[in-house]
Amino acid sequence: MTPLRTLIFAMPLLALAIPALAQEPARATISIERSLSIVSVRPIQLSPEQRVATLSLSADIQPNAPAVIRVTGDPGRVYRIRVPRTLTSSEGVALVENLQIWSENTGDVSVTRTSHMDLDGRDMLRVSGRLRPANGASETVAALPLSIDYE
Amino acid sequence: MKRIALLLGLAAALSFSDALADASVTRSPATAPTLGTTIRGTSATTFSISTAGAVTRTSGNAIRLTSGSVTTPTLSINCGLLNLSGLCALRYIRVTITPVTGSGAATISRLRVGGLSGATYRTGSAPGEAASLSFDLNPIGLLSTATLKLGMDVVLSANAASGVYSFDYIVTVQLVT
Repeated sequence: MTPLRTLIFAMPLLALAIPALAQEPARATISIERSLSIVSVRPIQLSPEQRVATLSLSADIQPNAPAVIRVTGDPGRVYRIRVPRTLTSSEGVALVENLQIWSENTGDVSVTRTSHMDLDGRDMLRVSGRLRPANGASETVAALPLSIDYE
Repeated sequence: MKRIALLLGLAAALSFSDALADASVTRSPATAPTLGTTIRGTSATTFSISTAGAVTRTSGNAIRLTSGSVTTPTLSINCGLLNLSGLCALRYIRVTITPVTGSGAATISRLRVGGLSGATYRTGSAPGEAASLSFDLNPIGLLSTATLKLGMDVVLSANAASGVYSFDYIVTVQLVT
């Protein structure tokens, strides 16, 4: 048998003997983030006599004092503050209007309603507004819904 | 004459090694599964992804922000059109799937396959779930493409730093006698 003939006969056996290999690297992903949290440090106090919302703080709780809210999340992340511009009663009467929001990290965010966490993932918000008491009510208690989301 | 035969033999062997690589495997989509945004947990969390794409948290306290299913990878295996030289169409195909271990916050702890079409398992049934899989398919013929779905368990480490993590795996297809 000539070498050429031997080779021709050996080719199918060669095909069986040599393992063919194909590889495909593949990838999956997951995005991890730190949860956002909101803690109310001080409640909001609004006085009907005060016509201008104050965002300043004092050691005592004044009749007209902003809510102090601590938020935490991913360091450096931008977040959006969701709070209604006007808080209305069930009768549709405005109770709190002209809400003002001040962020320790960003400053006045009353209009943009967007702030960011510091390098430790914290921010402090002050929220105030102008109280418009309902007719006949001497003391008004209302809840101000506030939430935050990563931008 | 002998020299010519040897040269021809060398050329044939080289062309053979090329032809033998014609059994191919592809996966679609390019990145899958994509679990999406997840709030990290204080304990290690396992998300189990079925071959159909349903995601279930089986342990831990991380929170996936969506409860929706994910697109699982579809693996396609074929011999190439009318590829006769490697006898690919007539040979068993060994599929091996292994996670790539790394230092990331997310790792694959278990793999599973299902939804096989265009071929049959050599053993008659799908392999059980395992940290890595190796199983044989019966010869798929000249014109067929075998497809199967891949599911997995993903472990997310406790208190993982924020960011996007990828976790890789390798699919190997080999012709066996």
